[in-house]
Amino acid sequence: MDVVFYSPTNGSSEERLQRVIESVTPAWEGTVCRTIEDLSERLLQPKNDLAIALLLAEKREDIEGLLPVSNLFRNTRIILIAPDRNKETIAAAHRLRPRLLTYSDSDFADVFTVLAKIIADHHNPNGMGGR
Amino acid sequence: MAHILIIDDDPIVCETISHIVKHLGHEAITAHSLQEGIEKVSSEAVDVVLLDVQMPDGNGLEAVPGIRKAPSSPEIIILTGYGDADGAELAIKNGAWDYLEKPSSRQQISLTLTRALQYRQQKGAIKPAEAIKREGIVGNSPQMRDCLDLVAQAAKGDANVLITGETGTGKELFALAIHNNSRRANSSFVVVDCAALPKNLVESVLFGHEKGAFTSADRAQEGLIRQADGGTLFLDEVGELSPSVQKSFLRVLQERRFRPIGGKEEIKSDFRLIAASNRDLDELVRRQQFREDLLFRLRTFAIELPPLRERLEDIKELVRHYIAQLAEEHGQQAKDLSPEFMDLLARYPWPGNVRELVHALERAFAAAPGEPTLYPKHLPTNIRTQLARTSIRKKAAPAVVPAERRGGDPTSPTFATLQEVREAALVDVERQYLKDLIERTEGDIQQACLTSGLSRSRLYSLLKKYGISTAT
Repeated sequence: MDVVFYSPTNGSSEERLQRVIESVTPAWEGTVCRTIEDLSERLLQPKNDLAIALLLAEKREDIEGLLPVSNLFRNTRIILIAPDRNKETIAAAHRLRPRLLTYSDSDFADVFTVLAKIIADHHNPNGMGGR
Repeated sequence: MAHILIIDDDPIVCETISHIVKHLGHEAITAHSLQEGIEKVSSEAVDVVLLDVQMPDGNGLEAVPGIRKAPSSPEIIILTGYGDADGAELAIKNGAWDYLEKPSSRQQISLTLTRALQYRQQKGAIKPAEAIKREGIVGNSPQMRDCLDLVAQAAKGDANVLITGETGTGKELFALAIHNNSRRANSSFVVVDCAALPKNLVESVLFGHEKGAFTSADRAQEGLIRQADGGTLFLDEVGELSPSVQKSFLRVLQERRFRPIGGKEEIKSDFRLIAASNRDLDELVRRQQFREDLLFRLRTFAIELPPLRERLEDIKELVRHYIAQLAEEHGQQAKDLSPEFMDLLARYPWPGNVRELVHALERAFAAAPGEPTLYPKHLPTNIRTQLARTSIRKKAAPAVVPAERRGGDPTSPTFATLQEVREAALVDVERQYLKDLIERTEGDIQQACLTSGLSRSRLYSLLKKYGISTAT
């Protein structure tokens, strides 16, 4: 399972999230997509199977910037970290149809458990890997 | 005035129903064989077809898909034998509007016909499927058109919708299409992935929580139900909800109000609910793993999506759509598709449905950089090898396994596996048994069911599998 990490700005949330990804998927190659172009290129690579995209938005514009390329997220499960709880931010976030919407001030325990569950179910033949 | 086609080999039945049809003010057309009926429905505008099952030139049920594809897409009423519950069920599953037991009273025929015509009239008044925003739903097979008609109907109201279908059939796209064609389109479409959320997280994600509600709740959190206010809440894989959350959610559905975890006051949320599942929720109810009252509420309006293998005619359009999309995304010219490539795609059973097809196309596209045409070699190896194996197995497993293949040199590459021998023997025995059964019962399906102990639907399915006609 591919884990794609998009983080336009290097900050403390990014480091914490990287630790979460590494703890759930030790084989993660550690690449962080910094721009929409990097992310698009990564998503356009053929996937072996299901992919998960962790999208860390530092501001609402980061989420809005992802909307034009939302087609590329087909067959990809999105975990979105929104920068704030403003109505407009949340409305933009839901347009990406994330499997989990959380916020950058969280402890990311929710990201850890959701990521771990998706991966475990995917590897378990009796798990709910499908949609 | 509507046009009603009666397909029955019995001239008395045709005459009787024609009389009723004319009395209702409609025009009756008759056909005494399936072939004649199919020709008439293909060349004339027909609103309703009354179709007999037992026809001299075949089984009426097998003609249903073909009749539904006719230019006027008529409604179909099946004429079944008296007390034939299996035949009736099979008729409905095959896409018939309704069924009538023979003999039926004049009143029953009139009522069923009138209802079918009313339905047809209302369907015509509904926004046609082509006029709705499809949200990437590709295909124009009768099954897809039916589903899109249901999307249009669901979008007009606020009723709870349950979308079922195998993994990869596009349940979320259909849910999104309902939302985007509804009055709620300008508000949020909020996804709750019940399969991705661990049990300990679902409740807090759905209902939200107050600060200090539990150990890690260091700030208040709004739940997804609240965020769906004014819009649509999409519960994906709803069969995964735990019993306690099912109970809590049932109350939310009834009252459209809820209390966040640790909260003192109830919050209202005006959301429209769409749920989806790839599991048999009725079976989960029987196993007491899903609440019957919740299922009843979820299923106010139901849409069942067909697997891709049941709408193979959509594959060409799906392939062209996604290849064009991939070309645009990669900044390349659209690629041509060789006939062999298309043939292979049409022969593969697609257990993962459209999602698997899209995966395969992505890989094929990536495997042919700079090449103008896609060939089978560009497809993923697992698909090509499975088809090759199936093809070889078909050739290698004759109806009767030759004696020399039951023994001989076990190291020979042509020596069959035990599984192949078993399968071949079973096919042979089943085919011969069914031939004997039909001959012995002189094609009387009811008698054949009694003799064989098979249900009518199972018997029809086996007869179809082996290409055996009931006409003796």
